[in-house]
Amino acid sequence: MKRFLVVFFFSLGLSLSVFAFNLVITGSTTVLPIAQQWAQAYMAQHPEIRISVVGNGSGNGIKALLDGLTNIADSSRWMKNSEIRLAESRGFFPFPIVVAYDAIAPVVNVNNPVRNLSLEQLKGIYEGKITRWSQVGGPDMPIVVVQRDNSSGTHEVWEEKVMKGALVTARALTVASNAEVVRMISQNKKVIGYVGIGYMESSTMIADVAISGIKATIAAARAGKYPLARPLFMITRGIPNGEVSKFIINFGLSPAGQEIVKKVGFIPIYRLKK
Amino acid sequence: MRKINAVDTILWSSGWISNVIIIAIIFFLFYNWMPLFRMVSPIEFFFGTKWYPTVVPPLYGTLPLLVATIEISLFSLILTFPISLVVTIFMTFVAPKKIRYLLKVFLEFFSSIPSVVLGLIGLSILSSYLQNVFNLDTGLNIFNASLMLTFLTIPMAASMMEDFIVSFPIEQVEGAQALGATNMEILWKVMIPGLKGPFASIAMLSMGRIFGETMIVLMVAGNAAIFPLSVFDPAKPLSATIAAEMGETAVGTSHFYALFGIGAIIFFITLVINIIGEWVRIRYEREMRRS
Repeated sequence: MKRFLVVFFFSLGLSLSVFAFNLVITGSTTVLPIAQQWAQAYMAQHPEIRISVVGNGSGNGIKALLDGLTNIADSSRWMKNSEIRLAESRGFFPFPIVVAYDAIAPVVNVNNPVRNLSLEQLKGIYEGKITRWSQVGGPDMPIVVVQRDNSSGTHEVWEEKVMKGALVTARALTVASNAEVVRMISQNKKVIGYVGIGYMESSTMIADVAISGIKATIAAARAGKYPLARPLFMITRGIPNGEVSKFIINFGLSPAGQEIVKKVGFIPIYRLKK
Repeated sequence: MRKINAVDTILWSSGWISNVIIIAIIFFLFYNWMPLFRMVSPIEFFFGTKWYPTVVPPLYGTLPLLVATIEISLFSLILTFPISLVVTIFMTFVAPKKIRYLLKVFLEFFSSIPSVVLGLIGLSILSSYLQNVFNLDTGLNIFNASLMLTFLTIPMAASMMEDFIVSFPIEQVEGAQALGATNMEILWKVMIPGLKGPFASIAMLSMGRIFGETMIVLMVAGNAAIFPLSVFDPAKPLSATIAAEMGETAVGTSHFYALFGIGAIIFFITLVINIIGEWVRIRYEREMRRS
């Protein structure tokens, strides 16, 4: 019995120690690399601070923020009206801060010669109306469409900016991460997919497709010329103060923090000095 | 009367707690499913043919997902059963004692491979192989998923079959031997007809295991919500749908309730399959005791 009690209290103490983090960050897997690198650099500067970073999706992050389980919610999309209303009903106003930009690029296998498509052609391909590469100036082979799972933030942007309300063909293969899209495309000449700009360098077997002549570059995205760019957010409970504001505003939005954003493959919110 | 001490209390309460938790899970599934029918009609949910949960207005037809799951499970069971039978026969009748022991160890080792590892093999090795050999549009399809599920289920099915063959009533075997039957004749004419019941139950239990398996199908089935026509078509099974979509679904939306509905469908089908499997097994055991 005594031994049992010892084990019991030991495990209780262990589970309680989870709450000893000064900052908890939860949410989008797209924002995850930024949050992780920021947390590491920040903890190196402030050894007394402990930060826990979890990547489980924008929806879950915002849910955790609403329930008071996290200090910061990472999100790769705007909050939905229902979520904002829920936050207000719980007595606080969510405060989204843009921490970086992301651009989504259509990608194909390097051995596929197609390098330029219009938004209409992309829509046609994803609707299932254009089914062969020869219809868009490529070799005569079928088009295999790859999409992200329909609850990912990347997919939501694609649906909003390319599909514009049209349904993606049911034949589209669905994968759960950017890395998997890259892997499928590098293995298969017939595939078209889309990834965040940070993943374009991850394989030499993939090539990005320009949209009506505009390539997904940092400059084009920040200038608003590239049609498939989106902001990435960290959302706080009300106007940030204390450690939260020190972390996001004093560190994350500083040149040092934005240098990290660039390093992990996203677009900094302002031009960094060389 | 037996003395009741602290250990008894702990055992008793943990038994009851697990019962209560299971009932709570069932309640939880229903509680999070039922609000869906305020927004979507049951006919549309069960028989709709389009799964587009994020468009406006959303479409929650689970029929293609259910068909995909059933197709993958059946195909995988068709592969699992004969292979397990052959493995079992080799282990119990053909292999010399030493190899038999090694095989048993290997089988047990095989059963401890996590499903995510099998998924990874299907994803990174088998899919590109299938693509090139059969010149397919994609190697992520029903065939690939079923094959990986088969590898997952064989150890379980084979070791259960082995248990039944080893514990087969010795009188019947000796009777057959007295009539001059060879080992193979005993196997085919005495044991397998006599073990029909347990083998059916093994099939059902394997089916239950395959039906709810998530990681492998999520990784290698291709996840395209269509009615698959051939085994080389991609498909989107029920379990993979929950795993892929739950992460970013806002609580309290119709999509959230629909995913719980899918969970409930899997739960009920698995429950029915397992009940049939157990029922067959119990009936067989009763018969054996009577004879």
